[in-house]
Amino acid sequence: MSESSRPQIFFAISPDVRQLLATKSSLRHSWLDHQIMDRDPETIVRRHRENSPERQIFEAKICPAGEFAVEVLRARELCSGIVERVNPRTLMSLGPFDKLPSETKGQISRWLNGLYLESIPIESIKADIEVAINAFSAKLQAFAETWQHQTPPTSQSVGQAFIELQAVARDLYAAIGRIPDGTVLP
Amino acid sequence: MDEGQGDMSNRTIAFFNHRSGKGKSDAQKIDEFFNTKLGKESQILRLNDPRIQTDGSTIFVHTDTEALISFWLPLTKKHPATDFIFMSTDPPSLAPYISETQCNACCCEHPAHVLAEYGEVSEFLAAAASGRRISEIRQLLKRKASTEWLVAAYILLLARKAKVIGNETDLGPRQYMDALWHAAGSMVCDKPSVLPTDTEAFLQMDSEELDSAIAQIRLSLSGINRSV
Repeated sequence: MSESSRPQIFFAISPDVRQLLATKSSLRHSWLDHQIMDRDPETIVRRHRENSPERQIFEAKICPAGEFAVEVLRARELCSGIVERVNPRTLMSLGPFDKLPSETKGQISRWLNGLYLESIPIESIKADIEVAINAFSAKLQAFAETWQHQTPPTSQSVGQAFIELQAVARDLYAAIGRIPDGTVLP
Repeated sequence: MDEGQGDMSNRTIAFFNHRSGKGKSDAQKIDEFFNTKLGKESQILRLNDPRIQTDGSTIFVHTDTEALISFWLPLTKKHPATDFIFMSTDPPSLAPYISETQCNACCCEHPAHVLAEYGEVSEFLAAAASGRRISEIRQLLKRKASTEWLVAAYILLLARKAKVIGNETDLGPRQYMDALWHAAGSMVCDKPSVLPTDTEAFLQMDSEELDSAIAQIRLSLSGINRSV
């Protein structure tokens, strides 16, 4: 598709959008990718068998109030705000529009919002992320329980539970990846 | 001016910032920042404070446009070695005055771009904390300001094309809108600009001209997108 016929361009302009992108990137890359998807299930099984500091660190991550649960919360927060945060009507608060009469600003704002909702399935993106978060959350809980209740050396079910966690992590990774990389311009 | 020094402790930085919610409070934090992080004695001085004439290492925070024109701009002439970073939400109304003073420290040479917009002082703080050069900080502010002018022009053109803006639509003070087109036109990457030169020209554009102008800004925005 040529540059001029693209339905919309994405544009990082406001601090809020930059923050959104930073969160999106952190969730996908630092958490899902590095801490779950890239991990070898065999290593996780081995960790379960060892009584080591590494095991304690990992357990702290997967426990109900652990790092992974915090990341799930961050993902939920990100998801809850995306419809508005990448909406081009937020650009009407830019300085250059300061002197535009409020009635005119309102007209343009409503029109931008309509274009935005037509141009990108943002509600569907949001719904997909919510589904992926819920699925991940359920698998995380299942994995943590398996980890807790399985007794070494019968740790293979831990490995299997982790593989299942990786699968839902991949879904969540993909769903978050559909968030536009900036304000959606017409 | 020894531009390019990472150490900002001997610099004077003036913030012209006169509207609500645009960063005056953040500017106060800059005062704290200089005191605590750089170990430098700095103060927020009020207009007419006699120390303003002599203290070459003070942060000035200014809040009044009229006084800016009558007092602060002449001051920039008196202190050519001082770094003045202008921050305002009302650049067009101030630009002519800045232009007259030929201030040596504006964010860029063009009168309409002179003032970096907004009180996003946090961005400045982060840059300063990381030891970035004054010139780089200016670039940051300039890029942000110019990007927003372009985006504003783009939205107005699209709205005109879609007839959301009609001939009778109230666009506010003409001088302000004229300055917007003036600024946006000089910022598009491919020259010559096909953007309207002022509000009257904007309202007179036909469909084909609107398409050309929209395409030109899209190109510029795409370029900025790639550089972000």
